[in-house]
Amino acid sequence: MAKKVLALTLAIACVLLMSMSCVGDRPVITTPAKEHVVELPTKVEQGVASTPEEKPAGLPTLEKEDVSTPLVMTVDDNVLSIVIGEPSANKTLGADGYYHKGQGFNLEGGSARPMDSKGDIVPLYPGVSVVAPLTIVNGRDHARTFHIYLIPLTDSINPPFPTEYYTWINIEDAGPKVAIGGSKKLAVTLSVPYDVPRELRGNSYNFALQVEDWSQTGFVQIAYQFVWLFSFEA
Amino acid sequence: MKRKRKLKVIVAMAMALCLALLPAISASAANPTITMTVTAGTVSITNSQDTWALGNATTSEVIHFSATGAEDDDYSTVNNTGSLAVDVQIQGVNFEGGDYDWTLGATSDNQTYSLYANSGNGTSTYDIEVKSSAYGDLITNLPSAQQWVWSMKFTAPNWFDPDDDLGEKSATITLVARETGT
Repeated sequence: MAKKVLALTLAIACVLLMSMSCVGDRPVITTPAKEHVVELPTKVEQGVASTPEEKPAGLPTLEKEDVSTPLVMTVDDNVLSIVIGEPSANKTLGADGYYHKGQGFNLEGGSARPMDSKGDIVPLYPGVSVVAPLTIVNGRDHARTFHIYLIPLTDSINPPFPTEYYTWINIEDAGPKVAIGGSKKLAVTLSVPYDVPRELRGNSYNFALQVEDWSQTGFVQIAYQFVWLFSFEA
Repeated sequence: MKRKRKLKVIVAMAMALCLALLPAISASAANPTITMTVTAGTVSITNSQDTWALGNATTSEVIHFSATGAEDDDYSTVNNTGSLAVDVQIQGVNFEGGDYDWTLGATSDNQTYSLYANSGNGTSTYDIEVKSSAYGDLITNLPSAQQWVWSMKFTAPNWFDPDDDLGEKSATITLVARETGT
């Protein structure tokens, strides 16, 4: 009798072990991908994602004085005044490395890569959800509302991630307002669904988050890109 | 009786062993935990000139990015104020305003202007086309705390549409910095 009980127990244990082993082959689900499908403020034109909202123009002005041909534009009568932007501001850096006055913004961190606990770059598997923070540091001149959008880089070390899968990417706040001298850390999440298309598997990709400040008024404006580099399991 | 007790103990031990092993087996078979590792450091640049006094312009006239409109190959300076080395790219837009925009093109044409940057640090060859549809490489691998001087050359359209209402036109160019090697 006891032998039977022992045999039965061992059999149950083996079945349990096998079933748990199978469970272990499945990807760990941190967040179901479909919960992250969001509408990003992007549109795709000529292979480049951009915001649908029009970027405000700067101050370069060109006024033509006369419609006769040839048209000559002069500044003598003050009709043609081609002055682009505001006078150049002081570019002094503060002691902490951030702009001291009137000096835009910068990013903390330049790129993000998926790594395991040993620090090795690893491919993303179906069902995984990964997050990287994008930190924007504002200058000390005025509050800014930033505009963040996704852009595929055609000249990166990895090829561009197809824009039709940008719905897998969620930006916590694509238009954050940051106070004078303040900073904002935003979570950027890539949620890989279980049914990763075959054409993506085993390949490496990039996308970038372009960060712009549309309150800039000069002819020459500054923007930054925060680059993601990753690959999928074969 | 003793034998039964012994077997009970063995059964209990076997079950305990199974329960103890289950989590370990499960964890070892799972996918690795992945974290996105962000490069430590800052991406930050400034540019010394953000204005451009173009001065007088006629059709097809060439005007340089300088205080007077004359050629000054070192007029503008990009300063890498961050801690990471950066690549800097340049992109332009059409001049908008009035009845008709001026399109940014590769060469001066009807209602089309062109804009080229030099490759920097004193070179007088303006061979970097500023496009509206794509970024052009202006500076590659600019180390932290280093500067790079550069300039631009504007060529006005070779024909101004007489039906234009002479309205104000405006445009910008954008310098986009990102970590080198990405």
